[in-house]
Amino acid sequence: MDLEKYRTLFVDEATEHLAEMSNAVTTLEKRPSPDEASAAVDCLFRMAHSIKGMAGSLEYHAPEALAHKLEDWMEPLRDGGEVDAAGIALLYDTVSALENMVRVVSQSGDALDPRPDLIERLSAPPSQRDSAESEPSQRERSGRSAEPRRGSGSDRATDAARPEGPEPAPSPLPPTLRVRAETMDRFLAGVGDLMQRHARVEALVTHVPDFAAQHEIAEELERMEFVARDLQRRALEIRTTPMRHLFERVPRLASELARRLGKRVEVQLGGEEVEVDRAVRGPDRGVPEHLGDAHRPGADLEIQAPLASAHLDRAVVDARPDRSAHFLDADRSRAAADVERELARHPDAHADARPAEEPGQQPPGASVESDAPRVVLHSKVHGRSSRAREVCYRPDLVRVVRPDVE
Amino acid sequence: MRRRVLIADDAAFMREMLRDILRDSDFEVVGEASNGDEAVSKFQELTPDLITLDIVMPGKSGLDALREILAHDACACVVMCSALGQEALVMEALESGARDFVVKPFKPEQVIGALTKATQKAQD
Repeated sequence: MDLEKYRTLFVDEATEHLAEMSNAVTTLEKRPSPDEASAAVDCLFRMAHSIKGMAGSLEYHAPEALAHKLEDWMEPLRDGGEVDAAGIALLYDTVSALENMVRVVSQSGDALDPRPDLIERLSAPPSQRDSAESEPSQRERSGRSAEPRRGSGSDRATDAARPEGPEPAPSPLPPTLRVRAETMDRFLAGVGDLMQRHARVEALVTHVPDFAAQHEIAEELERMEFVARDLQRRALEIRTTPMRHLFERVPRLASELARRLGKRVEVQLGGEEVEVDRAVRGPDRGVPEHLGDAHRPGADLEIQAPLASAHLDRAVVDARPDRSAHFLDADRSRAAADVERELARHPDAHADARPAEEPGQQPPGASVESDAPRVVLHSKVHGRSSRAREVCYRPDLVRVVRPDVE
Repeated sequence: MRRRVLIADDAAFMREMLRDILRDSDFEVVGEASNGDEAVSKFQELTPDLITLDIVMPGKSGLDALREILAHDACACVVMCSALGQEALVMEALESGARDFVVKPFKPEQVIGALTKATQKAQD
């Protein structure tokens, strides 16, 4: 058996499965409708089952055992019921542990930590949320529990609206093919070469003495250019992927942050439709698994966050490529505009709240009371498309601005 | 003549593994399916001699796909692929008409043995 081939397959497929699992846990955390919850539980069960099988085939016993334990833990939930906060935390911890194991397999193949602590936690059956707690209570609104909410679309924060009525049945996924990156690169290079040769022939055709022949060749070249450009566009579509795939982990980061701070979290995502090179994906994924992770210097990709008003408990992820110093100022002025726009959209927000110039600084007259203290984690990408290959995050700029509460 | 096999498993990893196992055997892989619906439609389209069917798949489960395939062709030769801890489901599949089963992680000799045995049963 070609172990290297299967190790690559395992890493690729397990990584995708774990991303789906992470999204499923986020869904469960948001108190979804029964159909959404059922789909999320089914996803978690199937993905754990699949990872178990693949890991077992390659004798990666640690992820096999952990995935098997998770599969057993999920079994009672397949009949319905909501997972409580402790269960959600356990699911996140287990998914994180499996991600770490896959990363180790990908990078070094060292012995895997079997995580007996998680095995033990998963040995207890899941406790389910009291179904009487169907609406967020005042106690929760005051910030005792976390509930990540996700917005999407072109630079607007929107609440995740629940659709009315029965959920439509999910459509089956279209078939896919796996292609090596170098094969894709050679294909793209070939398309580029084709475009260049087309341009060369276009220049040469003007030397054809027969005008009628010249005209006929020029018409064919025009059609050929149309086909070649379409081929180039499709090749780039294969090579690039929407940014939203990089943002998959952001809601989970927000959830982790919310649990640490004991606050509600609002996630605002913008520019998800911007295309980036698929090479940005991979074990590092461009998004830190934990807020303390450090990553490599970035390229054309820019992810920023607003410096929001200090009267709200605020955690800011400020991430940008390592560029010259003036960029930071430009970032802040843009961030300030974002905050102003946000405040204008929410007239109930405190009118005297203004962006802080420096972390920790209280704006004058800022109220320390907040009806719904929240954390904003904002990621926004500019530009039409990017061939960025690396992404930088500045975890040293993560900061929590707390109001002085009497 | 090589027996024609359809592989149905939602994990590309597993489909690749089965394909490798069967490469130099008496079995030729003529198609792949990644979910239960596709397994049923590809079975009807390709009319393979055998189908390996994973029990846990998205949408239509392997068991439901098995029943639909057998409803379409009562003589269909189906071998279920299961994982540890799914003994009850395997029994249900056998009672529903599956010829045999293999347990993951796959051992090449066990896979080929199960497919050979299932083919012989079909001939008897």
